[in-house]
Amino acid sequence: MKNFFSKSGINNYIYILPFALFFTIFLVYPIINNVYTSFFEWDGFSPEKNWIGLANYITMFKNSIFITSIKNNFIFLVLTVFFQGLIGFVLALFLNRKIFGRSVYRSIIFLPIIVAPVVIGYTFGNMLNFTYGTVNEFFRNIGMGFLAVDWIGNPRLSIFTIIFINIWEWTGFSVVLYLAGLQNIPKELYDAAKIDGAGFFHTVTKITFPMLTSTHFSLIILNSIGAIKIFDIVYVMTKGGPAHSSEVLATHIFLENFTLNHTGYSSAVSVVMLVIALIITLFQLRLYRRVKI
Amino acid sequence: MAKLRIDSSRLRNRSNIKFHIILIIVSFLFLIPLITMVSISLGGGGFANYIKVFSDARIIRYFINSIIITIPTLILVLFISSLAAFAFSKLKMPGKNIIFYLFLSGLMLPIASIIVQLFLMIVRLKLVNNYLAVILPLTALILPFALLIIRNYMDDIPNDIVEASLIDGCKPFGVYRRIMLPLCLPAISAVTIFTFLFSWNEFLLALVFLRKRELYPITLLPRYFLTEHQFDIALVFTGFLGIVFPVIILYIFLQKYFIEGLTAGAIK
Repeated sequence: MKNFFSKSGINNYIYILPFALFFTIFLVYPIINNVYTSFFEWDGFSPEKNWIGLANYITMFKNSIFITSIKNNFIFLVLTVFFQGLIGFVLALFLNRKIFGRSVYRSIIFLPIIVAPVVIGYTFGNMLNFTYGTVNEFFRNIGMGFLAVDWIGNPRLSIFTIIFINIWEWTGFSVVLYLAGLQNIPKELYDAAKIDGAGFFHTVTKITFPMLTSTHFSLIILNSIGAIKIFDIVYVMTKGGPAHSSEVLATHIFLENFTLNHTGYSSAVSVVMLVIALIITLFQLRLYRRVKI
Repeated sequence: MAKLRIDSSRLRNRSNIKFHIILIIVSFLFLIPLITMVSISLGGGGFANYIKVFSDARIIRYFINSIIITIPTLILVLFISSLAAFAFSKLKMPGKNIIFYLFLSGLMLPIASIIVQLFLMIVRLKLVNNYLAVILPLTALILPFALLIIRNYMDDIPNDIVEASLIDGCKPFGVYRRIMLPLCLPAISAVTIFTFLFSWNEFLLALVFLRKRELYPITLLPRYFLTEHQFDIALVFTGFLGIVFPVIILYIFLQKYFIEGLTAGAIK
């Protein structure tokens, strides 16, 4: 009997049991419960739960704050993927040369990633304050007062300010990934290009950029999920305001559940967020599989 | 010929200076917020702010709270993920691949998407205002990433080592503890750094589950200042330096591991 078990390897499940417990209790169970709760009208504590079918989802798609949130996440995604990729790529090209102190430059550019987002949020909140912030003070002092705008308080601007801060925080990540990718491009390709008389611009667009496809792909996936996840900086800087203009899915869920006690509704929003995150994760898993085989 | 070489090297030097100027400006842009933090923290009282903040018993308490959250999370993540990685990499299990990819599906799960349900669960378990309310979900969220990193590393260790030890009468657990763990040190250290950073900087779980002021981790420090003191911005930013400073010191000495730990999941 014992032999049979160990031959098929069933006994070995004991090694993944603790993992399975954490995974099931704290990730799978909440996900399933999210779907279930989303069909109810419920405040989260009273014993009374009203089954209302898909009504929460219908409310959600009619709710202009939800629409703003998902739109902001989408703008976030597009701008982050594009600019973080582009800036990261250019800086990586700079740092890929044999120049003195390049590891110091790399470390400085990577530094913001290790700083708590909460701290980053408050610091930029201070720097970008309309009246006393150093940024506006700087613009006023150099006689460009028209650039001293209300970065956080202007509802048309606030989400873009937050996107900029997020790009600032994570560019070092793209730089490091691109630098690693650049190491894998065979030198012969550049030599061949040089012989063919290709200039710098041509070499970059025709050789370097296409040779980094798997790095581009990784970054697109990771930055996409980062854009869907965003919470800390938004919460700390604007709490989704002014007038819900910088709301994202995460702050929308937070506000609806913990301030307004709309537990059923916020579960429905959570389900939407989960579906988006899982779709992106599926792309990521395919990537790992392809690279591994 | 020799002349030509000198010319080209001088040309390279000159263009390097141009690159240095650009890179110094870029570095400055990445450092400005940190410089701003330091300069605000010194406003008003100067270094006296530092003494005031870091001798405040409450704030010292917040540091200890952050450590109380970070250390158990670290131990749980390392033990559970390396054990599972060992089984997935070296042992026979029915349905191994399917289970592995199922576990990895948690890789990118946003905390916000399950926070409502976690809250309901934690309330039912009567764990509000208990550190476990942060430690347990945090561990679960980090585990898939840790599993991926350690398993990838273990896959590169030849199976022969494991098989030979098993034939020699070593139990699988013995192989894990005495052979695999020491060999996986680089992956373990990457996971350690990632987990440390994630737990130390964690905000949302603490915000939701730790409602008593004396339980706050250091990331909730601004809330203490906003409610308790008059809003003294210099003191708040001195506190921020307290969050960031330990991390930067570690970063300076363990830079390579930080960068590897944070990008490991993306590069493989």
